[in-house]
Amino acid sequence: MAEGDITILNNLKRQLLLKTIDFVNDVFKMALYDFALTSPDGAPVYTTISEIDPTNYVPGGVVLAGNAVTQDDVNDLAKFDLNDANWNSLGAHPILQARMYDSTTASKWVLAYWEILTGSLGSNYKLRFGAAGVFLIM
Amino acid sequence: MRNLEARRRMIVASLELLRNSDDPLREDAIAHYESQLKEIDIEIRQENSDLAERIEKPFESGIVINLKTGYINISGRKANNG
Repeated sequence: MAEGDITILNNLKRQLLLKTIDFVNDVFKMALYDFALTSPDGAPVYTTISEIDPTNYVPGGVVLAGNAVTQDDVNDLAKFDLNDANWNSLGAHPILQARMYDSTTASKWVLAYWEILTGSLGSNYKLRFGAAGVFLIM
Repeated sequence: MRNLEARRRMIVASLELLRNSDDPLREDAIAHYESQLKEIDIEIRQENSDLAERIEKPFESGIVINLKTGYINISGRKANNG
C-alpha cells in the first residue's frame, strides 16, 4: 500500500444492492485518523476513536459536496464523484487514514478509505480525488 | 523580496551620490542607475502580485495529497455470459 491507495469496503457493494445509499442526495463526509483500518470486511461505521483532534479539525470531518453520478456508455462504466476535501490551517498531527462515510444513513457506514502517510503541519490540507472520480463501477 | 529591496536601496544611494558629484560622466551613470531602478521596481511589483495570488489560493501552498480512484468490477457488462 502507498499513500493515496483506496480500499472500497465490501459493505458499500452490499448497500448498493440493498438500495440503502443514495449517492446523489446523501451527504458524504471525510474524516481523518491516526489509526488505520486494515480490512474491508464487515460494516465499519464512523467513529471518533482514533479520529485526529488538532486545531481546526472538527470531529466528523468535512462535508464532501458536489455529488455527481454519471454514466459513460463509451467506456461502459458509471462514475461517482465528489469535491475534494479541504481543511484550512490544519494543526500538526500524524494522519494514517482518511475514511469516507455516508453521514445521512443512520449507521454512518464507512464506504471507502485511503492510506495517508503525510500528516498535517499547520498549513492548509487537501485530499484531492483522482481525475477519474471517487470510484467507478465497471 | 529582501534581496530586491536591498538592491533598490543601494541603487538609490548611488543615484544620490552621483547627483551630488561633479563627475563629467555622471549623466550616463545616472541614466544607467535610473534604468536599473525601473527594472527592480517592476520585479518588486511582480513579487508582491505573486504573494497576493498565493494568499488568495492558500491550498496551492499547503499539503495536497492525491487520492486514487476506486474500481468496482461487475462482470458481463456487455453480454450475459460473463
